[in-house]
Amino acid sequence: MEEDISGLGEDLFRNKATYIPTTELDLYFAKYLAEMSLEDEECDPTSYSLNSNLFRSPEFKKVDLITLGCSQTFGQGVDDLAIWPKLLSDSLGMSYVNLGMPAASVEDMVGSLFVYIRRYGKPKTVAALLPGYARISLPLKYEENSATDAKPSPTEKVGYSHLYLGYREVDGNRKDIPLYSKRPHKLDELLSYEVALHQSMFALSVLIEYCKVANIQLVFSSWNHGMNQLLEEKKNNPLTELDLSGCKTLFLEDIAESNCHTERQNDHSDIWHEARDCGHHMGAHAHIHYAELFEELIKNG
Amino acid sequence: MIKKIHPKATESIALEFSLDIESPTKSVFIEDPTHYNLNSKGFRSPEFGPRELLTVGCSQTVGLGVDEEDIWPALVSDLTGMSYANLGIVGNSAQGMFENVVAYVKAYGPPKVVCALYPGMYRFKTMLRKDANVALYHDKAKGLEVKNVNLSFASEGLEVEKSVEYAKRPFNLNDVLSYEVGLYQSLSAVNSLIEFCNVADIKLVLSTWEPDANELLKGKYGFIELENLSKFFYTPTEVDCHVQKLGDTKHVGRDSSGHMGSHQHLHFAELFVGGIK
Repeated sequence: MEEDISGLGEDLFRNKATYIPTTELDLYFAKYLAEMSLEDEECDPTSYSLNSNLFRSPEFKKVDLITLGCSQTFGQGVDDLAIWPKLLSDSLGMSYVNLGMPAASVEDMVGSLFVYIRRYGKPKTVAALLPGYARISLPLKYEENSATDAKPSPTEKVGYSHLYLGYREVDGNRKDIPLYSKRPHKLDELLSYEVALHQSMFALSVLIEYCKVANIQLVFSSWNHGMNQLLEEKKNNPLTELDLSGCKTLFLEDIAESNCHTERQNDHSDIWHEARDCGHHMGAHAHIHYAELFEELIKNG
Repeated sequence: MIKKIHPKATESIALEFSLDIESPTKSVFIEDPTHYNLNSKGFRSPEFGPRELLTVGCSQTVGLGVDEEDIWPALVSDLTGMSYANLGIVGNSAQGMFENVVAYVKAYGPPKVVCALYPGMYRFKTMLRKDANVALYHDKAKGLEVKNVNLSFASEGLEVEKSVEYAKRPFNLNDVLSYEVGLYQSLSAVNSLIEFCNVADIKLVLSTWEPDANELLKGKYGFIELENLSKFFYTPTEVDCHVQKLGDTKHVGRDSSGHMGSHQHLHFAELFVGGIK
């Protein structure tokens, strides 16, 4: 099919919803930058080198490797040279772009990959570091729906938000879904986390099947404990129809407890265990481990 | 590193791509004398196998209330001479349609052409947990069920019905979610099918029988609009082309749920054939 689908986000649902999955990459990311206040040096003194599309990536073009993910792939709080997409590219000698976007959900990642490939062509390999499945993307029509961290726009009727379902904890326990709700109904409180699980797994399935028919090597893991648990369960289930051959789990807790790579610790001593932003992102040591994990998966093909 | 506690991953409930064999022709409407020939997988289709044409959609693609030789998938196959399989499933959503196409391609290889007739964008697929979330027609959900849910939507010229002011757990998704939630999910699935077919080198022809979705999508995504769709939908007796006799189902399916008749099926078949060519 050759029909032009570029710029779909510009007007298709202006009157229905302000966001659709295939909007322009640079516009898409600029929104996050504004929201995430990456310029706030008091909270995060890290210097971020961004390309002309505002991604923390080399300039966009046809490349061998695309990295996908959220803030952990963007490398929030970690120096340019220490983030896993850069380390992976260096060790493999592959040209790359990094589509990591703070707060991205699995379906955001898939949407950005679709746009990129439409515009710049297919890579040989996609490496994806998945967020938790509790994170989903949904439109909020402000007079009807709200979410804990979403601020209604003064000008738009409908906004787009990331929600974390079944994720809120009280003293270490999941917060119960409330008995009553009043309009605007708060979606991250009244929707069970299975809604997010279904949506995230649908997006992951799309990514797997898309890469398969496109003849793109897909390797993936997750920094999120729950997602890694789920992927392990699926891998151990002989009846699963998900192709998890490109998947290997790695738990951040295990990295935190390990005492390896000490020869590289001096280069990143202030961010070795944890990034220097206020968001508790993973540090340089974890980035090394995920780069090594993806390198192994890619080489083993 | 802060160690967060996460909800335990739930076993055996994550989505899998497989051909949905849950009674694809099951209708909640019992007064329907139409005879349905089903294949060994339970679909109103020739037996599955490598085929040139896949048709995918909801009850309008099953052809509820219309004889087999008059439904649009059979007509497109007749008019093009292409072998086909019909993946129509009653109540299917855009997500379900994507899953069906992928499952079929995995099982039997890619067709040359996929023709997709979408339902309204208010319908989306989600997972219901009976103590938390239910939905209209699914208010007696089991523990966990993956279901296609219809959110409130606007009929022609009407305002979208607002969510209720107060709701009580288990929350009925029809009461508490805005229409845009279904819209977003559906469009994401439409987009996925477009991209999947693009890289699989499958020609994809898209349309919808639902007037509001048609208004939303016409001219976008490669959707082909059926001329006079709104008129067909609301006042089919006023459309007087194809005057040859089309039997008792000319204007509406003979099931009692208002599905489109053989005249609309004929028009959609012609539309899809035009798209293929």
